Amino acid sequence: MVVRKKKINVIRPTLRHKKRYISFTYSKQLSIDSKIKVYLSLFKSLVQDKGLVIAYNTNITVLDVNFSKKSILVRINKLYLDDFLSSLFLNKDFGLIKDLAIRSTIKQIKNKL
Amino acid sequence: MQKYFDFVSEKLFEENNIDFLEDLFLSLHINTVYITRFIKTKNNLNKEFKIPKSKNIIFKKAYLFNNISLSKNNKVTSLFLGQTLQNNNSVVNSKNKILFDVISESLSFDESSVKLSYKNHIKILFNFNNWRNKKQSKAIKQSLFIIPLLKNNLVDMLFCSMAEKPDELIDFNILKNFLKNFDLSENLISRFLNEKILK
Repeated sequence: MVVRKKKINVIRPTLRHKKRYISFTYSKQLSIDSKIKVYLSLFKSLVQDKGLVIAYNTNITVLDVNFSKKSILVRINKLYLDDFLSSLFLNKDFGLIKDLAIRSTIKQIKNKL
Repeated sequence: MQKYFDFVSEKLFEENNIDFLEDLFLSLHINTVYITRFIKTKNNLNKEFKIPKSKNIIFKKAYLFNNISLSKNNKVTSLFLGQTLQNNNSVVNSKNKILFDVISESLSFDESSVKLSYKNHIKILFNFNNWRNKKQSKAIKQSLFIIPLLKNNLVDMLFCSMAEKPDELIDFNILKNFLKNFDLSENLISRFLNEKILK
């Protein structure tokens, strides 16, 4: 019996989920000490700016928080990128937000960091 | 990548190191910084006004006048304070001026002021920190009325931080996206944030 290797179907680029990875550094000494609280702060400012529906559609995921370097890495839905960036304007928990980087893959953003 | 300009208070440079500020402006993509001195009396004009030098950032002087009568034909960029009905009207009735901060306790900038601004080539400069501090509710409500009016009547708008502390500065890519809330297109926003609009 001949064993043949079956080709695994890879998802086409057009069908892939569209995400954007955003990293930034902040200036304030945070009273927030966990990923969950960082998520809640970002979610709250997005609800305040754009509303609940867009906040849920944006699908914020906090991937990495470095409290010593004061940097945050977040993944969001590409379609709501502008809304998320707009909401950062009203966020007071992080103080001055700088070194903003937006990339489509996590490899690119880790190279940037 | 587009580079931006910002008007910043003199106090920011009194309390912070120039190297730290230079790195900060570069990380926020700000290329040109207008250091602004508030002029209440003629004595303020006569005081020495030194600006730092840098290879990467262009620093320029600017004056913010409390009253139109204090200014002469300066080569230095001049801003004229609004914030009251009387001030707004006096600036809008003169020619070729930059009116700073039209937001006040109650709405003091309406359709007639907008039409006069277009006729007299007045530029309106908004302090975007008003949208983030205690004045937030009044500032955003009045801006939601004034900015579309200015856009429809083809009046130029500028946006600055007038920051006294580093925390009051912002990345202009974030500001660009927030300005879309005021029904401004991307092209218009890029034009308003480009330094050529001051010339």
